[in-house]
Amino acid sequence: MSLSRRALFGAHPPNRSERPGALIAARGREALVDEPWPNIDEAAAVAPPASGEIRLMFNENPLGPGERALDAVREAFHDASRYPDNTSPSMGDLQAALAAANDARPEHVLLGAGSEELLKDAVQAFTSKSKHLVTATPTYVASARVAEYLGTEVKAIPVDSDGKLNLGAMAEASRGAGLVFVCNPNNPTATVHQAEAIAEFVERVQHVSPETVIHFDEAYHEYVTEPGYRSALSLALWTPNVFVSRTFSKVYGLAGLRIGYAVGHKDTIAQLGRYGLPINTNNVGVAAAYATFHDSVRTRREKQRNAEARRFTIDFFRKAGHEVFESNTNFIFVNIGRPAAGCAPLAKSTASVSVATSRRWKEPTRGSRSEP
Amino acid sequence: MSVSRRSFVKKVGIGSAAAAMMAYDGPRSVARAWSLSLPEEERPVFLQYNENPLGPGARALDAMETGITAGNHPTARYGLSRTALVDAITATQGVPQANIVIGNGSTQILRTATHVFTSPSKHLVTGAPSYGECSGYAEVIGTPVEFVPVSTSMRLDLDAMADAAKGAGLIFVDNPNNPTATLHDGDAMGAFIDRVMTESEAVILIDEAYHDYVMDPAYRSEITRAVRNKRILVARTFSKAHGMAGMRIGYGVAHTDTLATMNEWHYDSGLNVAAIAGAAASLRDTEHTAAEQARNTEVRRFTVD
Repeated sequence: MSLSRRALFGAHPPNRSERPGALIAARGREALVDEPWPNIDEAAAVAPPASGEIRLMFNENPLGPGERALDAVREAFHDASRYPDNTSPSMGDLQAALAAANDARPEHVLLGAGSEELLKDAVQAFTSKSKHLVTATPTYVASARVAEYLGTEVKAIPVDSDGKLNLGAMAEASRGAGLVFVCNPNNPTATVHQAEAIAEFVERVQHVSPETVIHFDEAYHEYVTEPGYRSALSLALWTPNVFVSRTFSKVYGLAGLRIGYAVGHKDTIAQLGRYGLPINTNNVGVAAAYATFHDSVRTRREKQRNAEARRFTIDFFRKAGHEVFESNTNFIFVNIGRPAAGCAPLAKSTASVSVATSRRWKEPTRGSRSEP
Repeated sequence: MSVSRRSFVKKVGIGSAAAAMMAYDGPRSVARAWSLSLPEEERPVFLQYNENPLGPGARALDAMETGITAGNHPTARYGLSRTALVDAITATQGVPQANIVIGNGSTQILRTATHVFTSPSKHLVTGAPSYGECSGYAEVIGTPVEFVPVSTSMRLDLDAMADAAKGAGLIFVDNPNNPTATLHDGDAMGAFIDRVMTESEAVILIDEAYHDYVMDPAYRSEITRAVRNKRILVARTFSKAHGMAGMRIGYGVAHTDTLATMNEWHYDSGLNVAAIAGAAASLRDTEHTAAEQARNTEVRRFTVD
């Protein structure tokens, strides 16, 4: 993917004098969903992607899946009259393969119709009217939405001034909570926490609230380049009340086929699994995921491609004088310093080169840094 | 496709053995692993899942292959549009667009209905034996379940189910009923619905998963009534006659107010783009559906006799 700077931004150079600032950033699938974080205007109805269009607001993979996945998809269509636990590869095969790849057993792994189903299941399984949800703001909003529907109290902790989750405050807020949702890296701010901070967070939560379940959503795990980062997955395998969710929608380019998975302590996974649909994934997605997740060459190449495009874009915005949070994902969060009305020309300009941008946020209330 | 008696009997012979072996003994994956150890021509028809052994129709396959694996990487894009499928349902079933909800299999429609219409104080009424999805989920969410045994003719006992409906949140009526395969005709369903409407406040969920296989001329689908009546919801699936069990796609038909209640909880982001394209094409391929109906009727007659 090559980006022409001029095409993307030339027509409408950012104007820093128009405060209060608005932030424009890419988000995931939740772009069509309201969120507690105040947004200025709704995304317009989203048309199907036109030829070559890059939909930044969905954090999709514009290159699509690899050939291995597509071959598997074509083959799987012919097996589509079988239930996906009765096909080859089956849901069980994918579950076992994901387990083996992570030094786990199948009972540590649960498939989801995208990770979104798992987010829903977690809120249903672990929160109640008396056991609240701790989340962040802004963050991926699916968990909070489910909690609101169920009448579960939501404590949303603002990110810090670097756009990072305030893990200290989130741990404090977890006292008596049913579930803490930790999106790492965080959507939409793109920031990541390192392994030590995550381990310390788990310890703190388990100290103040041993019954509380911790959900690490690692949808962008494969895009992280921060060397101090490690997945919480191995921690989750051996720690009660901790699990990790992942998705095939991002680096693997299978958003349209809806495959996600959760990994964690077997008791936590068993409890989560009670709330999912019994046959939640489709055989085509299962076959594609099975064919692609071992393809480490392709994954590495995609990660490299993304890192280059990300560096280029962040540098551009910074040189133009804009604040950009350091990104470890396939999207960025940038303060373009314009009021909402000022975002429209930018969106129009990018649309003219087949790049759809996201909704806007108000400038976040600045809290103190969570960690020195 | 016409079924050769010899090949069918051979397959059913193996399939029945598989069913007997696997009915209570283990998960599907065991049966599958066993079947995959056999040469292809000897692999059984898995009767216990009520799958369609022939697969999706040619037009559905075309739609999926051309629409999904070609062009602008549709598999990498979130499939946000339900329009193709909703339009096909409207065109072929005569249901207005506003009265349609799409699900990750009809299973998800059944779950959503159980979630929003029952509670610990509003029980579920279901047949016994009947399809167990609603009752299974009711147990998970703490909803009491009233199981009403089928009659001696293995039919749902609609009178007894109406009796059990007082104070209920949802009545699950599988018509035809899985696993007894029996049907209630339009008049019987009409009388049952009338009674429930006057004696209870429960919503009636009518699962028409096997709709396309019904040959009884007195049968009527309840989708027309579902559009008008706020307390009737009909569920359909593409897993059976349309041969798309693997794709996980189904739909529900109900009054717009009923759908509004369901949609507060129902999420349809679990739908895959191939299923949307394939199901839409399959619905419009009425020739294929008719051929599948004829094939099934022939085999069923042979086997029942």
